[in-house]
Amino acid sequence: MRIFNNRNKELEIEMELYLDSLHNASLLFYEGVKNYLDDDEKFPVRVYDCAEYERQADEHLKNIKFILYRYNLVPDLSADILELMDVCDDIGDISKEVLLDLQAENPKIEEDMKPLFREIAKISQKSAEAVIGGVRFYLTQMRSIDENLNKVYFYESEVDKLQHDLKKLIYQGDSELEYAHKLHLSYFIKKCAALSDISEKVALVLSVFQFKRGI
Amino acid sequence: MGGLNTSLIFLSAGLFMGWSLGANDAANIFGTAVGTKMIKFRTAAIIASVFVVIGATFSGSGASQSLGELGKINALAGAFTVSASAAITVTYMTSKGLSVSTSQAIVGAIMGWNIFSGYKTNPEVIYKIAGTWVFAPILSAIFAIILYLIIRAFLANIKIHVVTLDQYTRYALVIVGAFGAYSLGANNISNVMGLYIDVSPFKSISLVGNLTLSSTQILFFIGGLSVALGICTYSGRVMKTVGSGILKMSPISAFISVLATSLVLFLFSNESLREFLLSRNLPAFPLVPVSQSQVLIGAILGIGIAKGNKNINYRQLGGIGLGWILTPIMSMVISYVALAVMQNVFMFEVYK
Repeated sequence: MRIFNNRNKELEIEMELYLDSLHNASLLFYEGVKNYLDDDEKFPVRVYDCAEYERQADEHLKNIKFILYRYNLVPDLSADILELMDVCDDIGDISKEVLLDLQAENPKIEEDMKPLFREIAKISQKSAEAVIGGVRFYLTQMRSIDENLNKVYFYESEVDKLQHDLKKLIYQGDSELEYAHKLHLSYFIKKCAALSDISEKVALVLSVFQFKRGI
Repeated sequence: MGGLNTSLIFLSAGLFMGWSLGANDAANIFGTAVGTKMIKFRTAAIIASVFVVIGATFSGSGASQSLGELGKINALAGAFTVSASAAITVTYMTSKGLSVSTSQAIVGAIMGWNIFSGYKTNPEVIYKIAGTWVFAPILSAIFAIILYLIIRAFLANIKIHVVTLDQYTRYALVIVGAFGAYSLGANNISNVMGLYIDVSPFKSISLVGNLTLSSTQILFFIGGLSVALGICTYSGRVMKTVGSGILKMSPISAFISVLATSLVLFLFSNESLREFLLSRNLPAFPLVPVSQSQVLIGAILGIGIAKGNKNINYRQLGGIGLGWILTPIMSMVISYVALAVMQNVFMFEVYK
């Protein structure tokens, strides 16, 4: 008689790989934005790699769902874990989307705007990193979650401030860009900052699930 | 053969009690684990059945001594009537949604026999048993609080993946479930078969090696089988209700509550432990059948207190208190009336 379906290790590994893929996608997001702004030739490689990690993340997410439901693992928390994993998926999606949009739409960014663009991408990536770390803590060591959640909220508010500064620079600065062009840049600012918004969304979900995971 | 058949008919009341015990009380052990799908019902039923029979056969005599001290029922028809009265009380009170314990029903029914037969009830035994009913849920709550705080501190300080923890929790639930079933069999079998000890129709038998089953052990083995039958045939439905409805607990809380309950039942039924404590001049627990459901409620309240939950359901506590008084009284009255009917209408010898 087989009492347990010993798929636990497999699920654990899938979760780790999934989070690794998302983390890598977010790192490539920042590197990609940086390369785009510097007009670096590595940019297309970053776009490709980021899309590849996002694809891998989707694959791992599919496996996680299958193993969780097929073998009925962690039944009391499976719904929470799946929701958390699902909402994390947006980190990979948005990372890929920004780079693909940059590649396809090729927006012209003026030199004086680049540092702020770079900073937004950098802090957005940091927020994603902090929230992924928080998810790892949720899965392994509940005690340390709060520190990561605080970081995410802080980074998100920093990105909001930078976003506002950059918008002011675009619309009120010396730039002689056409209004349509300014709107286009505005759209990209929003896109880059979306990663921190997603991270905040994951953090909010995590802060609720943190209480539900108690014994 | 005819005598044995008659004996078996008279045992039927006890066997019904056993079936009822298995159907209801096994859910207290494996309810959350099965209801939350941590363990399959089939696995739970097999483990519970095996260990309840082992507990009943090899450790069941301890708690039955107290029932023997309360009243020595010396006629098979009397034992049947007392057991059936307790069973009727349990069934009626359960149907009315009242907190009921087979232990309390049996004690009340024995007192009914004592009054009917003129057997003098020893008040000290009554105090001992009644005191245990109050003390056992409190002890269980204390155990649950201690266990909860230890496990919470332990889990807060170790790094363990939620999936691995889930796997360990499943192992723990199976182990503690086996222990719970063993303790249930050891402590509560006296409610099922304890009344028949002095009128047992069985003789001792020798098994392989030096293993001998005494007449009482055979009786308890058969009683254990009836409990197992209750587990296999009816407890599944109750388990699913417990796990998904009335008592919503996390698997780890379920583990704590079952462990606390099992420890209490074990303490009140283990003769070796009692002898060990007494030999060292330490206070020992009386060997008394206690209500597993009420001990479990004590454990759940203990977890609630440890969690800092101030919303204690006093209505539920009141229900237990009411059960302490109502169940024995009702059972005593039914037993007295039934014994009178058995003796005077059906002309059975209900006492010697």
